[in-house]
Amino acid sequence: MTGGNEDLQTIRLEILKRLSTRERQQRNVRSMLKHYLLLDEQLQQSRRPRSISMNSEQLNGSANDQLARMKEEMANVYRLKSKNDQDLIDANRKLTDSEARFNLVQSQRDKLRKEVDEMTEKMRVLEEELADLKEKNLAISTERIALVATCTYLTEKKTQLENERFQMLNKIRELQEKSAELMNAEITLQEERAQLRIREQIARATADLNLGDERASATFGTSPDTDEFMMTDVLPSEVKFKMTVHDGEVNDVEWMSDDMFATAGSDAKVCIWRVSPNKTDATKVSTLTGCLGSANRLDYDNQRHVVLASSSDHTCRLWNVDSQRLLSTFSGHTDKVSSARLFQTHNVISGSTDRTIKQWDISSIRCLRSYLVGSTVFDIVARCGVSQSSFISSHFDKKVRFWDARSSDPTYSLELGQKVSSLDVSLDGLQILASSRDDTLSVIDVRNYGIIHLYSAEQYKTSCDTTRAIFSSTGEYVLAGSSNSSVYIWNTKTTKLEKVVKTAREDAHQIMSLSWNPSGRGLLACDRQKTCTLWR
Amino acid sequence: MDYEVSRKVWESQVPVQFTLQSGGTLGDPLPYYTMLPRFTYLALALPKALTSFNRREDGETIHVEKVWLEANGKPLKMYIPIGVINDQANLLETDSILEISVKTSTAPPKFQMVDRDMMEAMFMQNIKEADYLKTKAEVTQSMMKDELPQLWRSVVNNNFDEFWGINRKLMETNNEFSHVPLRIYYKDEPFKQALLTIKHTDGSLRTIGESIAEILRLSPPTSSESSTPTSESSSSSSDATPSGERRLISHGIDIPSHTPLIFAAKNLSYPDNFVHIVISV
Repeated sequence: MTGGNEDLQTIRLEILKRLSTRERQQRNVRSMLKHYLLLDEQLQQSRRPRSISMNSEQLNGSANDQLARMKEEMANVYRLKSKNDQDLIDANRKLTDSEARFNLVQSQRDKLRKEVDEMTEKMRVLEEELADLKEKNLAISTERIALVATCTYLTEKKTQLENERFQMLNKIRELQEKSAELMNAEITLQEERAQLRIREQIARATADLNLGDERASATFGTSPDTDEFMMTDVLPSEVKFKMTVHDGEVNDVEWMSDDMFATAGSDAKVCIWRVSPNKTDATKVSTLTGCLGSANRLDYDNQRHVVLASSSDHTCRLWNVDSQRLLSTFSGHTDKVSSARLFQTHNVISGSTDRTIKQWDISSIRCLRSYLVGSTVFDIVARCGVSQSSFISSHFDKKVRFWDARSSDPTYSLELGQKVSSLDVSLDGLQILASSRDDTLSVIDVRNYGIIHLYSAEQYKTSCDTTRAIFSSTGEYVLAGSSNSSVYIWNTKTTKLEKVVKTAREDAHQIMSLSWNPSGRGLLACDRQKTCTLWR
Repeated sequence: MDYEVSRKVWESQVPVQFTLQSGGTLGDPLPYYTMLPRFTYLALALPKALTSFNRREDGETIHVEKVWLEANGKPLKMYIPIGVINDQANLLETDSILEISVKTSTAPPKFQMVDRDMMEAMFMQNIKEADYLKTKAEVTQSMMKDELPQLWRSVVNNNFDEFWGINRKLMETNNEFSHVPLRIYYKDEPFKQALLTIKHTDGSLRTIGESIAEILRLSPPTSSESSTPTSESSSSSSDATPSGERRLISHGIDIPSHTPLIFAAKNLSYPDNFVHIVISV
């Protein structure tokens, strides 16, 4: 149990000695294993592609030299292989590029070839078009030459025609001068003929008067009784004849003398008729033509032997009865002319459905004045009143207007119960008879515009706006046609219905117009069925 | 620290032969030979051997987690330093290579594969356990965070100066060691460990021989279970074998039985701060 530094030192040395002994024993094994590891490393290195030759082992020098040479050769082979691979890759790439370029060039070539074909085709088409155009050009040139020739010919013809035109104009001027001269001569002849008529009438009246006196002395013995009897209107008692006078409606009828009358029809004609001596029929003397529409109303001048007719063709016309020539045509209205009257010796007054009244000069065929009424004009009368410049018109607005030609406004307006379809003036010109659509007749005093008498009957009916009512030749009776082919006759003073005369046929045609013979015996009535009837 | 002794102990090496026994169709490759430091572990040496075996291109790749190790017909304990394994294998011979068989068959139940990370954890745990025996873990608790891993890295990299730069704190404490970390390997049994003070009650230094005798008395050799009794009372029993016939092997040499225990603890410890002694009867 001695523990001290000496013992510790001894133990330490013993341990160190034993460790050293063990180390010496292991030295051989240590070096062997170290060399083993070196060999292992060399083996690993030799397996690598690029190895570093070890020169430390002299015993294996020749083998190492061979190995080094082989490694070098292998490296060269590998290098060559890499180069060849790279060359192959480059060659493949070049081949691919060349093929791509070749394909591109080929496609471009195909495209260009196609374009060439298209251009060739277009050129062929254009050449064909060019040929066609040349042919057309040739044809057009030929036509042009022909047209130039035609133009030249036509130019010459035009020159000739202009020369002829100048000559014709000169002839027209000469003919117009001749026409004016003839018109003046005609007027002179009419005036002379009127004067002759007057003298004949005066002579005939004197002869009649003498004859009357003789008969009165022989029969009754007192001259006043005889005179009074001969001047009285005779009521019609029987139908003498009924004949067709127009192809359509007969709008108006007018006695021109004791044995001649005129009719106006919707066939645009005015006919002149002569009654036979035994009063059983009438024959056509002449036909006055020129109207382009229905002839509506007639007016006759006994002294100048002229007939005035208003027409639906917006005009009114004037004829000479003896020569059957159309003297004048008065144009200016814009609608149907309902009525026209001879006015102031050398004028015409006309009323129209265009709501105007116009005054015309016969010699110059010119419209002197227009009166703006504002209502359709149905009828118009002149030669009435105390003044020659007065005329009266009847209208759609139920009014009868009294005019003075020197003023633009009516002097007076009288309103009736309905539309006023016709007017008639008495023999002395102081009374007018107005027919209105309320189936009444009125007698109006021109001087004070008062209604003197009013006429109506139970069966008296009117069915159109153009029916006409008249005074008898002496004014003793007033007459109107009805819609049942009857004529109603009232006494002017007593307003008593004197008589109703009927046509032979029991039809319902409207009687359009009436006319009482100036001799006092003979009543003419026309209707819508082309016929005209005479009662005596 | 006795620098000379520590240095020689650090530089001791063991020759090792790794032989692959996989029974492949192309035969097994040649064995792998290497010199390993005594303080290292199989977890660090095995990957290099397998790399050598897998270098052959026509062979099947061997994975480290699919093999187990055997020496002298017994599975190896991979957590024991290689020096200790070598001392156990060469009880009768002093000059022979440690032969380790690398097998690819199914591992026996006793074998436990220890990889590098597990070994690192076990290494540091051993240092803490040793320090607890010596200073009640005062030194390891006061060490910086990176010093223990640094001890491991110096063992892996075989760096003596770096290792003792830190291990000095564990060996030169202010006070004496409370107990000495000592493990005894006897035959094929697990190691034995007991609480051993540096000095006897009379103040004299305790020797290695006395310590071993006491451990063997406390733990009879026939016991199949390893235990670490904490009883310090020494029963006066006369069944101790004569110390003259017993060899105490450590680091490949016979340690004199009269070596003071404190000297052995400071200079003959392995890097895990334990004194590993193999007893040969």
